[in-house]
Amino acid sequence: MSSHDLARLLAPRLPEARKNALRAAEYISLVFHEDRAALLDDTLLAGALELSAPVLRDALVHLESEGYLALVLSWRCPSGRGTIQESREISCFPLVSDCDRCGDVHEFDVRDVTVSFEATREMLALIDG
Amino acid sequence: MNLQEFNDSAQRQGLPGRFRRVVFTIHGFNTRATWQRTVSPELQLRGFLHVPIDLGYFFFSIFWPCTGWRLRQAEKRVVAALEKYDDEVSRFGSGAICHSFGTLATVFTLRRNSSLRVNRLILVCSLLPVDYDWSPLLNQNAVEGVLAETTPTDVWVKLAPLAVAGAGPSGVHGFTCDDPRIQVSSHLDSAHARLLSVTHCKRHWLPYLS
Repeated sequence: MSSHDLARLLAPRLPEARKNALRAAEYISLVFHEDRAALLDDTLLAGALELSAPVLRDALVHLESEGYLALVLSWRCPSGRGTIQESREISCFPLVSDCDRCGDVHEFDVRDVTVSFEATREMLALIDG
Repeated sequence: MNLQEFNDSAQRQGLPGRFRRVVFTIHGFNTRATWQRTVSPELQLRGFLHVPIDLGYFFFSIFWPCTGWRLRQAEKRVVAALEKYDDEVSRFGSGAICHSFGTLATVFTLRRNSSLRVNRLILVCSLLPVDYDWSPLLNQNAVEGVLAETTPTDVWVKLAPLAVAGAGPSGVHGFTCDDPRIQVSSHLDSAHARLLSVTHCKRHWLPYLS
């Protein structure tokens, strides 16, 4: 029942909506049932659902605009050593940071920031039915 | 997804992008700068945070011997706008589209305020001297690149060096500087204000600012 509500929200953003919206909703529900603090992103969903990342990107951004998902921003080490910092607000990132991953000092660059999504209370309420 | 992809997706769905490069527009003299309002929706639609800088209406005060005073008045407004959006500029970068006297005012401001920077500078019908020395601004990273748009038939630009202190006809002839970061784009079939259109913005300014 809960996945159907989520599927209805996703349907306008996905091709072959009837099939894919329910699959996507079931997968998202499963992820958040297993770990309520899990992070979703377009590549993770694209791999699991065999849909293109841009399509899933639109679906996730839509859910975020409706208040069911919240942004988590990750400042990635430009040397490819992982995440330097995570934040919900981009203004919380310093303009310069010592990187505990590679030992260098990095200047903030928007190109090093990736976006993922966590469930809001509304999403958890929706998938809990 | 990265921030650009987030913004692109939001834009496709008619949602406001939240991580945006700032674009300042700075107008010239003898105008109420309607072009800034005309291009604003296009800039916003493309995900830029558009900040039109209003220098007020003026005409005679750009001429010698008032030019310096007028430039300092303009400088106050440009500094105020650039400082107000300093955080966004630091994080997302910035561009500026300047027209006519606005080109002189913007470069004057950047030269006198070393903490300010604009990544991409578009100079439309520039009143700067043709042999303007760009090296201080480029070396200090106050400016990363310049697109100078010239119109060979621009009467106002041709007259400016005769009446405006420190002005030159670069809006007609371009710049002699051979640094590859200074690009000159000539628009043969145009006049002083004809480039200030939405169509031109889409075709020339947006690709450069992006």
